Amino acid sequence: MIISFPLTIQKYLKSIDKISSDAGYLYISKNLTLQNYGGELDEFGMKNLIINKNIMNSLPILEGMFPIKEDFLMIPFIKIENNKSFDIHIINDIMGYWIVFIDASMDEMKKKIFHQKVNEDCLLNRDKSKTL
Amino acid sequence: MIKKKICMLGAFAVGKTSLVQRYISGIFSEKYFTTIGVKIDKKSIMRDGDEVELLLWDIYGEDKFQSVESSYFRGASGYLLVLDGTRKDTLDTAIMLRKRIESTVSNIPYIVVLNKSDVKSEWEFDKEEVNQLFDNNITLIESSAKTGQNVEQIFQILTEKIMED
Repeated sequence: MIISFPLTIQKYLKSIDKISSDAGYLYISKNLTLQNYGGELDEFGMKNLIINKNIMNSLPILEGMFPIKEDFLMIPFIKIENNKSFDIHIINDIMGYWIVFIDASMDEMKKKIFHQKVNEDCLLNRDKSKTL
Repeated sequence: MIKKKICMLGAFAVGKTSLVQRYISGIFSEKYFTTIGVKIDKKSIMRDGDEVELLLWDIYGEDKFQSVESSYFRGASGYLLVLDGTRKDTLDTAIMLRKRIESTVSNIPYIVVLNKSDVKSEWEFDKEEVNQLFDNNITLIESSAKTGQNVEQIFQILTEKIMED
């Protein structure tokens, strides 16, 4: 799959060691018009993307994020409704923004097991100490 | 269509996800499932004849092993700061979270939600105490995701505040 990605995205995925992860990407201009997209976007709940249309119409989760002053922005563990969890990586380019979506479902599951246990124990201990 | 991003903030297990589920689907589950990262749901409401799409960012609760990252607040138009009346420590977490969000996105409308009003006999603090700890005139609403008390209202009132802002 990655072989069909633009070189910028291929290089980026290599640089963060995510070359074998499910991923998708968008390229939007500075005025937020969708220029290009590809990859596994369906699995993350992104559908009905239309080239040359404002990205906010089809992907409202990006609402309020732009413009970005930083060269790079990452927001981890995002889930749209009940689709797969992903990390968003936004790369600020001269002409627009590359937005890369990388599958985070395995890491999400590991974190979920840990925090579920820790938080349940915390609530349980609290209840026990209350009854004593 | 007008789109507005609303963040759900608070300590773990205060009922943020339950409030969203009650609001979106009208359902409630007694079982606690921790949220990892953020889950985004949408709901459209009508306001003065205009359709407003609310993007509800249900952000994981702060616990002793993870603090809430401010990158999630980016672009927010408003937020609900949720407290669990049965756990006083959730009040301290809420105060800390309010400071953190204010340093990222200054002065956006918010409502303090005192949740779990269905078990009021078990509350460790009341509205008066919350008002004293917050340093300005906050909008404070009691709610219950379990019974549905004030759930529609908190989102409606926050939307009004956002649109007037």
